[in-house]
Amino acid sequence: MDATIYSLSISMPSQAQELTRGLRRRDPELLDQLIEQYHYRLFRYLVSLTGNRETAEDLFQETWIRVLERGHQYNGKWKFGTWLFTIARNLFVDFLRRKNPAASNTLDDQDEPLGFADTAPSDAPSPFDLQTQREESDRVARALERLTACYREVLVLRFQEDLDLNEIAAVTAAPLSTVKARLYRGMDALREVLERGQA
Amino acid sequence: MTTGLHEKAKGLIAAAPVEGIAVADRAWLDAHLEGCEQCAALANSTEHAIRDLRSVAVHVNPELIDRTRRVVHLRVRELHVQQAQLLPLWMSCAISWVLGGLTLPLVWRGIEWMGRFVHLPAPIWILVLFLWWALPALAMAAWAGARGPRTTSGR
Repeated sequence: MDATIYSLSISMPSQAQELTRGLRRRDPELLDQLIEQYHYRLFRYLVSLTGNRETAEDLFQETWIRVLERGHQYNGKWKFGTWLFTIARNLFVDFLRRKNPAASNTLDDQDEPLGFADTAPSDAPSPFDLQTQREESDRVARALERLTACYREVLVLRFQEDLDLNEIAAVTAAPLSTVKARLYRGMDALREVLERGQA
Repeated sequence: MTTGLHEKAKGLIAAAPVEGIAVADRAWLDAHLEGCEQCAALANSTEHAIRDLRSVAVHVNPELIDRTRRVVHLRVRELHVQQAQLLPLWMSCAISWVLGGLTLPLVWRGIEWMGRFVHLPAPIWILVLFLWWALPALAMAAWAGARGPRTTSGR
């Protein structure tokens, strides 16, 4: 109940300052509420970025620790969700660097498609619906995994997380024109892959 | 219909979900789609792709959330302890600086006298004076640095 009230309130500009103050104070209750509110979106984003549940789980924890430690840097300029995704993305880029120090620093050149693992619906009213949803979800997840990381990322941020173009540009640290171009190309590629999958 | 019209329709179909289109463009596109099977199919498949994309769901293990909360709470406690430990450090540095400033004329004369007594050149005894003043802060900084960053266990 408290989390619901808070989730409604932090979208209001007057309450954004309270969020900023709470993060500076490292208020554990506030962090609990934020985890409750954003865990699903963050985890889905991380799964789509990494294509691996275990890595996504590790980065999920690291992201919240980073939110705690860098909370004083949040200034309310962007929505909390945008800031959260930026942290998660930076941690993933660090993870890629650790994994392969010789590789490029960003997702932009991560051309190798990643394998999605164990995607499943979060809730289902009946076994039949569950199965149908799972198959549908798996089909789209497989289609997504065939896209390059930079396309997959912007598509997820735009259509799953409902971020606007400026927010996506902030998260990906890319110019607006690049974000648009990736979205257009990503949409073309996804449509093509889905159609091929249905044929 | 001309190729130009189809191209315009394709552009609008692509732009609509990405950055949105003007009301007039939407009206024009709707009218075009009614009479053009090919563009209507494209619009339909774009709509389907977006709907499919939104339908992707992941299962979040509740244990992951509990574990994350525990780790975050643990780290909060660690950071509060660290902060509490740093307070006396900063206070002692501040007191040391204030006392150093207040006693500077006296210490200056004392070190200058010592320097002359043992025939040290001026830059050397000025360096000694600087060390006398900065040593407590440098020692504390070295101690804090030697402790290094603490990590949260139990992940």
